Order: sequence, then C-alpha cells, then structure tokens
Amino acid sequence: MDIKKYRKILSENLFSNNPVFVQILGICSTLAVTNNLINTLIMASGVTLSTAFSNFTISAIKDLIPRKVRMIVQVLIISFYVIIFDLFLKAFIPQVSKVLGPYVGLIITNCILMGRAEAFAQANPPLLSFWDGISSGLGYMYVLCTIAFTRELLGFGTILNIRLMPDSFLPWTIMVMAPSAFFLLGIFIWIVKGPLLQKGGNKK
Amino acid sequence: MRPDVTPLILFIASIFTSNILLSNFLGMCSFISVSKDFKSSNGLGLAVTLTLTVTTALNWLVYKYLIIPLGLEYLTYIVFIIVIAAVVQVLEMLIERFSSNLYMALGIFLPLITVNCAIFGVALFMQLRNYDFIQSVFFGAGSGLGWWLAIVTLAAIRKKVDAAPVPPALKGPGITLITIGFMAMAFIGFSGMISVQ
Amino acid sequence: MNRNSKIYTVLFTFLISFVFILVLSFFNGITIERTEKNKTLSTIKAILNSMAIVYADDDQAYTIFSESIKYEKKESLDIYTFSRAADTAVAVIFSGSGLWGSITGSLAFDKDISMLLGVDFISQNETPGLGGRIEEKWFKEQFKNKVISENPLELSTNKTGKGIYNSLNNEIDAVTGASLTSTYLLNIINSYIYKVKQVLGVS
Repeated sequence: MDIKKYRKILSENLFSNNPVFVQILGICSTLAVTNNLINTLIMASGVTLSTAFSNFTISAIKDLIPRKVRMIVQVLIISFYVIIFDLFLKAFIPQVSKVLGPYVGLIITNCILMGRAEAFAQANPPLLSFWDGISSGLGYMYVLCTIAFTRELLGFGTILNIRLMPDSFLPWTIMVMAPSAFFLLGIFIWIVKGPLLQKGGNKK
Repeated sequence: MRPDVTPLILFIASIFTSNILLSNFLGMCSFISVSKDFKSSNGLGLAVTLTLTVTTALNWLVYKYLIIPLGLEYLTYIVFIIVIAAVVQVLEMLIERFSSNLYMALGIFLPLITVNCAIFGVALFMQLRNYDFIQSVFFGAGSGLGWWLAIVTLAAIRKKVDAAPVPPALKGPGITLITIGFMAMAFIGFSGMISVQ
Repeated sequence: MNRNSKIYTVLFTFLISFVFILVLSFFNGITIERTEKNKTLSTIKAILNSMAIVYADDDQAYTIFSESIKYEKKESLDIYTFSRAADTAVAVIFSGSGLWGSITGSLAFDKDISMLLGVDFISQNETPGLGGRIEEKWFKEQFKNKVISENPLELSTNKTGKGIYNSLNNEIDAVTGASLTSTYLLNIINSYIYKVKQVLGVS
C-alpha cells in the first residue's frame, strides 16, 4: 500500500482536480439541494458512497466488461448503488427522502460518478479506485456545504434547522431561489481559482 | 391523482417559469461545456428536445404498463435509463442518416445525452407528479424547448463575455456561472405570465 | 472466450443484470415493510397534527390513532373521526392541484363543522423555498380554530407575510412570492369545506 499515492489522490480530488470547481462536474445536484445544510450533507454522503462503491466494483470487473457495453454496464453499476441508497433513505429517513425527492435518483446521472468511472476506475486497482471515489466525494461535499451554509444562513436564518440569526433578520429570499446557487458557485470558483492559477496548475 | 394543470400551461411553464435548467438545475454539465460554441449549442438543443419529447412519452408508457403492473417500482431508475439509452442510440442513427453535418458537429455530445441529468430528471418529475400521457408529452417537449432556449441564449451571451476583459480567476466557468445566475433571475420575471387556471 | 465476442457480450450483460436485479429485489424486500409503515405514519401524523392532538413519539401516534380514531368513507371523502373522553374532532383527507402537482393533506374540523381545527400536509410538489413554505408552522397556524362562515377563505390584501391569526375573519396571508400556490391551496380547502358541510349534514 503506497501511502503517498493515496495522499496524492486525496489532495488532487480535494483541490487541484476538484470535481466541482475544477472539472466542473456534478453541478446539477450541487445547486439543487444546497438551500438546506442537512439535505446537502445527506446528498453528498450519497454521492460519496455511490462513487466509492461503484468505482470499486467497476475496477474489480473491468477486465471482464466487453468494450461495446462498457458505458451501459457502468451506468448499471452506478444505478445499483444509488437505488440501494435511495431504498435506505426511504426506509430510515423518510423526511429527507421526501425533500430530496428525485434528486437522489439523479445521482445516477451525476457526471462525477460517470467521470470517475471512466477516468480512474477503468485504469486502476479496486482499492485505489474506492479511495478515489471517497476523496472525490469529499471534494464535492465541502464545496456544497460551503454554498449550503451560506444559502441556509442568509435565506432562512438557520443552520441545520437551528435558528441562528436574530428574529429581526430579514431573510434574503433570493438565497433560497435558483440564481443564488449559480452566483455563489461562480464566486467560489473565483476565490479558489486565484491561488490555483498561481500554483501553476494550468487547468482551464 | 393527476394534477389538474392543462397541458398548454404546463408546456409554457416548463419553458419559462420552471425552466429545466434555470430553475431545476438539470442538464448543467453539457450546458456549460457546449455553450462555448453557438452552432453546436443549437444542434444539441434540437437533439435534446427531440430526445426529451420521445423519452418522456415512452417512459410514461413503460411506467404505466410495465413497471406498475409488475410491481417493480424499485427498478424504475434503471428502466428509465435503459429506455433513454435506447432512444438516444436510435436518434444517433437517424441523425447520422439525415444530416451528417449535424452528426459531425455534435460528435461526442450525442451519446452523452444519455447521461444528461435533464432527460432522466424530467422522466422522474413526470413519474413523481403523476402526469397523464398528454401532460407528459407536453412537459417533455416544453422542458426540451426550455433547455434549448437557455443554451442558445447562454452561447450568444458568452460570445460577448469572452471578448470582455474578465479577471483571469473568473474566466471560463466562473463568469459563466454568474451569467447563468443572471439568466435565472431574468427567467423568474416570467412567473407572472401564468394566468390563474 | 474472447470478451469482445458477441456471445460473451450478450451473456455478460444478461448475467450482470440478473445478479443486480436479484440483489436489488433482496434489498427492496427487506426495506419495503418499513417504507410502507413510514407512508402510513406520515398520514397518521398529518391527521393528528391537523387536529392539534399531541403525541410524544411515533409509537404514541400509532396508539392514539388505532385506539381513538375511526375511519369511514362517505361519498368519496376519507373521514377520520376522533373521540376520546369528551373531545371529538373530524378530519378529511384533501387532495387537489397545486401549481406543479397535487397537494394532499388533512383538514380537521370540530364536531359541529363550525370551525376549522387546523391543517397539515401529506405531500406536495410545490417550489421548494416558495410554494413549499405552506408546510411551515406560521402558515399552518393560520388555520387553527378558524371559524367557518358563509364566506370562503380568501387571501388577505393586507400582506405581512407573517400570517394572520384572527379566528373570526376569513382571511389567510399568502406565502410571500408564492401567491399562485397559496391561491390553489385555498381553492382546494374551500371546496373541501363545502363538501364536508354537505356530506356531514350540517347546514
């Protein structure tokens, strides 16, 4: 077990090759669920676990998959884990399942999962792929949580459904609506790109 | 219980006030990457509209006559995706036959429509909201047109933005997202358009 | 066998689909009972909440429901009658079109159908953060102990966005920025008030 490799993958997936603000993947759900921190955390856990397990499975059977059906088999494996996550949510945390609704199913089409499967799992051993999945998920999670924190605090006055803002605070309704997610993500990219570009990482 | 929305209102609403991209955040990935070029945006918009209309209708039929009678609700996601993949495959063959220019222009994006969250998302919404067949068709077509409208508008705006002096850290995805944010705000202005039923 | 040959491709696809569907149906089997229970529980809770009945936890909600609430169907209305000691209340399940899909919930009345006890929701597909806010406490509280008069409920022109808590008038404050959802909801509630008055035979 090469610890260095694992650490490199982690740092890449968290910063220099972050799925959200560098690769610009997985945006759909990034924006849709981030007006509430709890929902975001659950969604991000779902993405992390699904990516990790599907990466693992795909990497484990990559030598058995016929070329022609590669994409569809990957989608099948991804759907498999997402459905299990969805069943689990519906049974044990129904309130969240109701709120997240179709967005859990949409994890299947989340570009991050497909992207990591193609870019990493197809060419790397299973355990490493699992780790890549976890670290990509974590990279995704902290970006979403930052946006969700801002949106929930300014849009509802709460964090994790606990009221933090004083009663006189007038909530910024726009934070609850669609455009704020775009703005916040754009600003986040702006803030992060600066140091990234300086580091010499020439990612467009 | 199917909701009482008339198909026409649903159609108009899904283009403007509940735009699949700008309000529901679906179909973003190809939206951001393809909108760099106007022509391919146009072509992709057309392809997405066709795919959406056909797949939403097909998925409705499959859901009603296959999944529910057999009690296979937990397999809904997989079945929908397979239907979408099949439709995209057929569409690819048709486009190659009838317009090789468009086929060339779209290149890799055509098979990628299969995993476009918008297509899958519209199918899921349709199932969740219990639309009937006609509503589903109008909903699919409207969502497609809304997606097309959004991507073409963004491509046109990006042409201008790219020529402007944008700070380097903001160039590319950063400014594009902020632009999309403004578009989303503008579309919210449409919400007065739907008259009361 | 060459993994790219046609036969292998077909076999592989079949095998992998078969394995996955098998495992998925296993998972579905072990969670479905719980999921169904959750659905029933959310209906039960909505009914109890609309009647302003307090319960400490899910189990107590079940107990109260099974012991003190009777169900009957009258003229396509799902009616739940609560009776314990001297208290009686009646609730109906309402369902109608919101802006995007159906809004379903429980509407509770006192036994004379002279007053609304409250409302709670079972499902709705309105815009999160806007129409979806009809599920918030401040909005639902407006329906508590609202006297039913000749005039149907209507949206107040005095828009504070914070709720109107006058049990004697027929005004409800809409959710700010969600006047359509609010209107549709009031239409649904008014039509059910009318239906209930007819079916339960109070003039």
